Amino acid sequence: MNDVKESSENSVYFETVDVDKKYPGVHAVNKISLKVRMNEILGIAGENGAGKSTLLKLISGVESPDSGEMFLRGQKYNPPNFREANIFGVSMVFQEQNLIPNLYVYENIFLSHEEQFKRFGFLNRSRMIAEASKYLKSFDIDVDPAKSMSMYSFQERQMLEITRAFVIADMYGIETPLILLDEPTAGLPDEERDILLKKIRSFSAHGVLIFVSHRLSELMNFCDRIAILKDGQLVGELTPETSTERDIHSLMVGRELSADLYRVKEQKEDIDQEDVVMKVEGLTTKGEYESISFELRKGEILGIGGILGSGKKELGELLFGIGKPDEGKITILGNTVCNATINKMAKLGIGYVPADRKLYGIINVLSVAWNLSLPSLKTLRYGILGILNSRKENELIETAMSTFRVKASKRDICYSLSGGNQQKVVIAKWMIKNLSILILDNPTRGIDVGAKEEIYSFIRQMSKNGLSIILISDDLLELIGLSSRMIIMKDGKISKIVSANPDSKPTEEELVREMV
Amino acid sequence: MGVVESMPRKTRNIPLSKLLTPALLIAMLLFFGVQYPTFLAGSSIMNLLRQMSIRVIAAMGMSMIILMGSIDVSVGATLTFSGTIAALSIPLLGWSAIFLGIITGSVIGLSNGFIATRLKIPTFLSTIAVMGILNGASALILKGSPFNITSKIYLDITKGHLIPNVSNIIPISISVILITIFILRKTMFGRSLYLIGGDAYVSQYAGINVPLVQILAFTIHGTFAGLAGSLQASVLEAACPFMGDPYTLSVIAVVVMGGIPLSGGKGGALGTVLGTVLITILASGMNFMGVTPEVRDVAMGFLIILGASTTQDRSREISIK
Repeated sequence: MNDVKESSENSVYFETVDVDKKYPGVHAVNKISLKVRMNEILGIAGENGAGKSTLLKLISGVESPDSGEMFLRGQKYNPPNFREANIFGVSMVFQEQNLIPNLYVYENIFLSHEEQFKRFGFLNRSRMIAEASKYLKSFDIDVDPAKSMSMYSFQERQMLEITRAFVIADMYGIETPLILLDEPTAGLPDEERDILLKKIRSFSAHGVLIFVSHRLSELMNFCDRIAILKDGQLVGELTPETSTERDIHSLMVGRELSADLYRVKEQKEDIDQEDVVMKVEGLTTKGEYESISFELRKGEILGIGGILGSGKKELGELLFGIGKPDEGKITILGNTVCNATINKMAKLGIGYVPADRKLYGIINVLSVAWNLSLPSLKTLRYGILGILNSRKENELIETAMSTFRVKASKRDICYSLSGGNQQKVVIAKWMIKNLSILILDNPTRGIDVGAKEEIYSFIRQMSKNGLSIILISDDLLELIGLSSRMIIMKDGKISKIVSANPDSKPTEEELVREMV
Repeated sequence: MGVVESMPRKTRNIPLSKLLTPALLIAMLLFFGVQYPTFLAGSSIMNLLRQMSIRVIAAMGMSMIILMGSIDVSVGATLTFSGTIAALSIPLLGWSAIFLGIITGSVIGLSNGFIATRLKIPTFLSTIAVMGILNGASALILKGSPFNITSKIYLDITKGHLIPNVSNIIPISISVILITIFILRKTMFGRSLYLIGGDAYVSQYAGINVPLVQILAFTIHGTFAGLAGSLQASVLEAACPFMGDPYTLSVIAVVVMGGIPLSGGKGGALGTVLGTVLITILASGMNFMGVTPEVRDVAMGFLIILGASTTQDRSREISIK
């Protein structure tokens, strides 16, 4: 990587002039004019559907604008596709990773630019590995290019994606690439997020970054300037030094952040008086978790926190019947569960919202309606043929859509919904079922503040109605705000059970101390 | 905010592609009808319906299998084997031999379901193996030559006329179509097929008993294939080795042409019926024209490509597996 900076330090590096993009029914990007200067990190904030992703797609050549112009390094820039944009030194790190897990690391790094390594029509594999290794070293990334991508963690893969953007630019002789980051930290717990951000920060000396994030604190700490989008329009620009998160938020949603996002006032007190719904004793699976014991009471929101690899995700899966413990006992509503399977747990009234919505949460190719009624189908059938009561099903779907404010029509294919709406569907489908326990694994990961707020209010409401909720989360504020008790896990063991009464909530620092 | 977020809403207008298949159908009817006026005569239409019966019965079960993203390559062999068992048991059972044929199909389907769910072998592979077993076994049982059926009462199952001028095989196949439409649209089992085709993991997580649904689907499909085989023996007045083979790929083709992608999750029985009608009209029209079977095969191949490219909107899909 070349360290020589261009002479005009503060010159405009990239500019959009009135770029505009319409999709049927949505004015996704409405005449946006933005400037990014040399070595600057520009943050972009906005709710889901504000046009952030579309804007990035226009810049990175994934889509073409309907009108408007873009200028890169003073020259007109109009890439026909993503690959061409790469060659101009513009690259994007997608929120859903764009790496192919079963290829090798070096193959991923040079993906679609392999012709640089062509020799007599064949790829020079050893040179590719050597080059990749050189780049990784220069970025100080401890990854073996000859290993399979799938061996590395989400955070490491994210690093590789970003490195890749620099590598491709360098291969085409671009000294300062423009790198678009679409929520690069969305799936990461705090500590790993910090590591990643620090790393990205160190890259900014070599490039220009446009950074999209839902975490306002991240934008405030990380960016030189923040542009706020709302409904496809640029509604404001501000610098972190002279403004607060509240300013961004009010621009984003056009209203002030409600004083209490987590509705702590509605938290149930005297939870110890309630009946025990689930009792877990001495759960152990070698290498994942060890002697886990706790009780869950009716209407309680029990938080489970811990860093990645602490065993909290595995514990959540296990309580839903995915996998088997080596030892231990689970008692649900007085029934001891042996050889738990998903079907058994579902029959006992347990629901599970997995962290990975795209993989396990929603059926993308089917309609909103069918996704919503899916867990309740057994209560809708009658007779020996298992005929579905379509009137009852319709009522159920209508109720779910209005109660949980799903902004879509019920015949819409879930694929076309925004992340926040998809997540509402995933949560609503369980909440309309008559459950006794709902396990939520990172229920608000990667969705905007508005949808988050709504989901928190649903969680509160259901807990008030007597549903017991196990909340597994990487978002400590969410964990503290919602739970009445928290289990902190470390290396597969419970390191502490922290109570969180409305008037004496623990701080983030107190929890982190127990995690690491 | 996901990459999918800014995707345009699905428009409600009927896509042009949905109109192309019926248009193709009408065009073909007109073409053959003008050239050969007898082609559209009542008796010819009855003939057409009769010709498509066996294929449509087998394709109904196949629709269920493909809806959930599985496949059954042994369908033709299932026809052969059940037809053979039915035919051989006629001397013993008379016309009710057809039930033995049907049950044979059910048992084959059940086994296919078990092999897929218990041994966890992909259905494409496991049913190829089953196809070999069944074809070989049928040929062994028949000692390599056709077994003629002389029982008039068994032949009347397909050739008789409970309704004047309408061969029995037509109401039988219509019943199977109606049963399938009912299962797919009205029952939880039918819905489960779509859900599993959409995403088996999500369905499992939501409490759908995925293996059970798969076994049941294969059993129903086997039952329909058993019926189709027993009927085919009645139509041919014999059980022959490999008699079901021509159906294997054409049944899969009409299902996919009819709009159910091999990955499952969308489409329905009526599409499959439409696909079958298209293929049957072409085949029978070409018979009218007196072309050789080789030319017919070439034309059929082109029709499948044309039909499959028009029945479904695949514009959003990157690759077709």
